[in-house]
Amino acid sequence: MPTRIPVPFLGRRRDSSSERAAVRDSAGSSTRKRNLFAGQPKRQLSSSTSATDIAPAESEKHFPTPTQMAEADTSLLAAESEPDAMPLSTSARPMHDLNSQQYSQHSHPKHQRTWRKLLYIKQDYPDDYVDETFLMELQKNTNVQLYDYSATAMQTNVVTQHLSSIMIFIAVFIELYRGKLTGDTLLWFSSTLTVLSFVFWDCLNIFLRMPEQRIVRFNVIKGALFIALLLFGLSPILRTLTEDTSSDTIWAMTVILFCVNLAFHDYSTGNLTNIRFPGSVSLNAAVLASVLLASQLDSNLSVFAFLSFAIKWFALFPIFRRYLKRISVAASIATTVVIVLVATAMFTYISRAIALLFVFSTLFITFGCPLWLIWVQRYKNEIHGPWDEARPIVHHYYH
Amino acid sequence: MHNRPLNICMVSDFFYPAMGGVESHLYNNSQCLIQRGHKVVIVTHSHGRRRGVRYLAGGLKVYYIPAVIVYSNASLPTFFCTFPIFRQIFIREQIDIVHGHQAFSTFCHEAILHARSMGLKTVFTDHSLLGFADASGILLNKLLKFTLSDVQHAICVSHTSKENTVLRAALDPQQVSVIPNAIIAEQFRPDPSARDPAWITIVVLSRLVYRKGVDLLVAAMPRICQLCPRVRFIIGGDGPKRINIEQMRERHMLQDRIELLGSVQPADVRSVLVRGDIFLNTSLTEAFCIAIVEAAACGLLVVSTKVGGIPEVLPRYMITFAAPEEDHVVESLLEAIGRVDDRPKHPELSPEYFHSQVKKMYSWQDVAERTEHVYYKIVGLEEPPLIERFRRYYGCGLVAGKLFCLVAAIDFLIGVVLAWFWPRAQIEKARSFDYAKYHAIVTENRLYHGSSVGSEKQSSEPLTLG
Repeated sequence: MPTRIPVPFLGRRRDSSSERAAVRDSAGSSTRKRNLFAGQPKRQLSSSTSATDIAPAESEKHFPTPTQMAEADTSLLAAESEPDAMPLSTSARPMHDLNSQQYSQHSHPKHQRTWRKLLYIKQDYPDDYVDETFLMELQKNTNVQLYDYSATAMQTNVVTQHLSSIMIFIAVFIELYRGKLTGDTLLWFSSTLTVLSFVFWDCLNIFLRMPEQRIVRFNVIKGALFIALLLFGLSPILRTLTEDTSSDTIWAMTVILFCVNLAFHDYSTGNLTNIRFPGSVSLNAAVLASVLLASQLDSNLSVFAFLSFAIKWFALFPIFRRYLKRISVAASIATTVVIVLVATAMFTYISRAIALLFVFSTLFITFGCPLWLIWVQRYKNEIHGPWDEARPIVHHYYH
Repeated sequence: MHNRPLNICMVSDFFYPAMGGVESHLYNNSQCLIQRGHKVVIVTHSHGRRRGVRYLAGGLKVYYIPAVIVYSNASLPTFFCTFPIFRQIFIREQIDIVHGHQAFSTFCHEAILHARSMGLKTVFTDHSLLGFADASGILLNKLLKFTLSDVQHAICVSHTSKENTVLRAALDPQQVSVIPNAIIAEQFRPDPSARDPAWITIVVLSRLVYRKGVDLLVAAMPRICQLCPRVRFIIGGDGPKRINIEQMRERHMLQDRIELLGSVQPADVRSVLVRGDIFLNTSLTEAFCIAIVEAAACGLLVVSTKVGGIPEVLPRYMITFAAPEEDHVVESLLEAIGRVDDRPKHPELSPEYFHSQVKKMYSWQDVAERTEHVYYKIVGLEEPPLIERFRRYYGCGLVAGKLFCLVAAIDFLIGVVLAWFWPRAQIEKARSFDYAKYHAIVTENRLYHGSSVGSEKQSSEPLTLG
């Protein structure tokens, strides 16, 4: 529900403006200021009587049917803040009331009629008059939903998963680069894992009867073979691609590209198979990074194995993770734990410091960041009011 | 002091020959201020070959400064590069008050900054509403905060606009006046003979863009055409959404019921309006909608979405409100269509009565008088010390405040350097325009031609673009 705030000045802002006013007073203009805002009618209208308001007395004289003169109905005005309070052209107007006000305007200037938020009448108030109703329609934080800690912490596992998968990928490269892992081992290992995952996915689909994920198996196999052959043919070229480039440049670029990958990755569970704009940037960055890394390897087989692993890892694995998250939260969390442990284990052999850093950052993402987000929500300041651009509601009955 | 004529410099990127609400506001307000005995100079950027100093009707002097246009007629922000030329103009014309218009105008912000560095009084008028959610809004609001932290007074065109500006720029609301726009009522006389009595005609006149609610229009029109066989539409204006209307017209085969005029010149607006019975406005946001006032002056019943400042503009017997929703628009239109047949029975709903009422509500003379009141209020204010200006800028934000201070400080230093290079005494003062002589000649010519003796008041004369 929208909360109405009677004095809706934002705390910090009000301070600065009142301070400003105070300083201006001390600068010597206090007397003038007080005169200006004393609440007396300021503008001396030259044509006061003829031009003031839509003279109700006159209209009454000329037109004996005042039913449609709904213009001055204050009660209607009060109801106007609700958009669904539809205007009625025939609302009875309290004529006596208006007439008395008109009368008082001329003979008792102290009895001012109440200020109204209207432009078409000339009011007894200065143009810079600030009424009590000022900013009445301001709404703050109306459609803000506060986050729940445990739910937010659960949601972070997609980030953790992706970060860990990048770490595993880098670890695989380092092993390959150092020669501790051979190309054919990686090829066999990754292919077996992929085929197993695919069979699992397919069985699950049949079991769960999800028509949207129906995959034409023949096409999948055809595509996989095509990509594998293409990569195999290209691997000698890719191996020598960056021969003239210094390794330092490659490492630096790889780090940047993986940061891009991390930033643009599609963490939502919405779409499973088609990769759209920000996600495609992420995938492209990852593939480019893999190509750069692969060109540092020394045998054609390693390059082929590494690149095919890269494609499986960055194009197919996220789809699998999203799918898993959709069907079961527990399975998703279990996957997270497993790949975090694998990444940590792989890095303990390479560098203890990085492994430690990785563990801490994982903990921070999972437990620290949700806290941070919830804490930072108190500074949320969403302002809505009549000045907002309306959203047109169209039903398309005819389309 | 209150009778001293002032030298006022209006600055905005938006001025004739471009057309729009701000442009006509500047022109008409300036003309009326001139009639009240002030000297008004307008500074804007050059438009094509129109550059240099021009005089418009009534002796209104316009400086067209060459500038690079970046986006939708706003000039490239240069921060300090415009200081020398603005300084020259302010000194040449012996300006007392610099009045900037419209938050989207770069010239306006720069002129106010430079004028403050020179110790001149400044006023800012905001003509539009802006939200707080989108990135452009956030950036522009920061800029507005910078400019408005050191403005003596701000003017808004409606109360809703005032609320918006006060929030956007963190202003003291007492520093903000509400002065509505106006129309030249004489140019919007009703003409019942132009109507086609066989039809009930609904007129729409706006740019056909998303913000004007064309989607609502497209949704509501076929429904109205189906429900009321006597209703037809006339749509004036052009824009990217025109294609949607054309598609809708084709799909529902309403070619004989919906007439698309394309863009309408400001001079032809009245001739389009008087053909209608109902004016429909479906804007999604509007600070002050001049179009509905013009329509009401032409005697049309107005149906409008209830957004922004629109509820403040017209009395309830002239306007029917609708929520920005297809069903509501249709409902309100049906209600207004029902009222069209009632009109002859009720003299207070007659077009002539509408016209006379609107004429009483809005006039540029009144706007100029109220603007003048603002000017007199600030012209005598004591100039705060430089450090106080910095203090105000500093309060604009954690990072932005320091940045703003830096900008203001550099601008001030440039001012000092300029004063050393180009001493004030060496700048030639512009000759003042002899308004009395101009009016004498105009009146004489009129008498000579004998065309409009006594038909029009003197006041409405210079209000045509020369």
